[in-house]
Amino acid sequence: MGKQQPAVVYEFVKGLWDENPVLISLLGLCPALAVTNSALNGLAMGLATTFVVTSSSIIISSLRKVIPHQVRIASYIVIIATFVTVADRFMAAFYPEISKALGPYVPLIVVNCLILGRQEAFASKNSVGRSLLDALGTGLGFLMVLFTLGRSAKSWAQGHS
Amino acid sequence: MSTSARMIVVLTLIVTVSGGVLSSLDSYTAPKIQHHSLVQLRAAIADVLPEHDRYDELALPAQTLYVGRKATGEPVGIAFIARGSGFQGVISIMVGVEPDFTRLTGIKVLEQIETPGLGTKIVTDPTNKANPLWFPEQFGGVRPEPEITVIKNRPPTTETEIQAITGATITSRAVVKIINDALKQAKSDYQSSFKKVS
Repeated sequence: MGKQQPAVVYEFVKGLWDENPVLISLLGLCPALAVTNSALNGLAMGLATTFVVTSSSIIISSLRKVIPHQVRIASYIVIIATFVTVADRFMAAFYPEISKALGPYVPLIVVNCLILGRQEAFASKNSVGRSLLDALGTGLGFLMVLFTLGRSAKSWAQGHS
Repeated sequence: MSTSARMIVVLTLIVTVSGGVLSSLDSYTAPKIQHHSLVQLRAAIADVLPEHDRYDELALPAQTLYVGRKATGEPVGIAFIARGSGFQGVISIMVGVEPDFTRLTGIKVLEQIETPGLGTKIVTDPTNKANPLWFPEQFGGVRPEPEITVIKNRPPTTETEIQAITGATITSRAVVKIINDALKQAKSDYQSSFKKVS
């Protein structure tokens, strides 16, 4: 292709600020507003999303030459939904309080555009290593915003931090 | 392999693996999740009934009654889950009542999606620093015969009255209606369960 690939480290770093899913790409705004009523909820949602985007990216980039172009979106959604269900059941089994607080927003990770967006724009075209870094960066960028929002929402609402 | 055959094979494989992963995960997490809801149920029963040593589940066609008993077997109270419409959605309440259904022993709201800051005071009222649980605690000792009534802007004067939450009259009325209706059902269910046995 002749196109120079960016440095490997940049694949990770870009998700934190340059291509931050919430602040720059304006994706995943629904959970960013809905569950950031406390730092803990923001953190839990961020971790769940990071888990889903990272696991999906690994699987999808390693299957990128196997999945036919015509059924790629259906395949991506099945893979993403599988990891979302894993995250949801895991939280319900081990962290019932957080699971209750997040309610339907955990299963709704499946329709979070930032996840399908990373698969379509990145994991389906890049190596497993780069896709992993890209997904981790995106997930952490999302987590940082949710955690910060949750923390400040709590201090604004209650008048102390 | 033709493209359409490949599409079918690949999607089928992905879905099969996904189904396998999820079913083995479910067999691992389902007992844990069930355990959590059982613990919550037990805690709610312990909250609404007077001190008891054990409880029996009385599974009736319409609902399950939880009969709290002393070690001697003497019943000290009956708990059951009452469900009905609130202001915005379903409210479900664990209700405790004396075995002869003459007085409530306590209630605990299990599920609700009422207006935050107003209707949610049926669970706890953070604006009342002295007793955030003043609303649910009113039900302890209340007499449900002929029925519990809601009053506004003054403390209760009779043993059947409950004071409404200011700004959440509909929610307060809904809670009382749910409890009144469920009590009648539970009372007839409980008493007819004896007739069958004897």
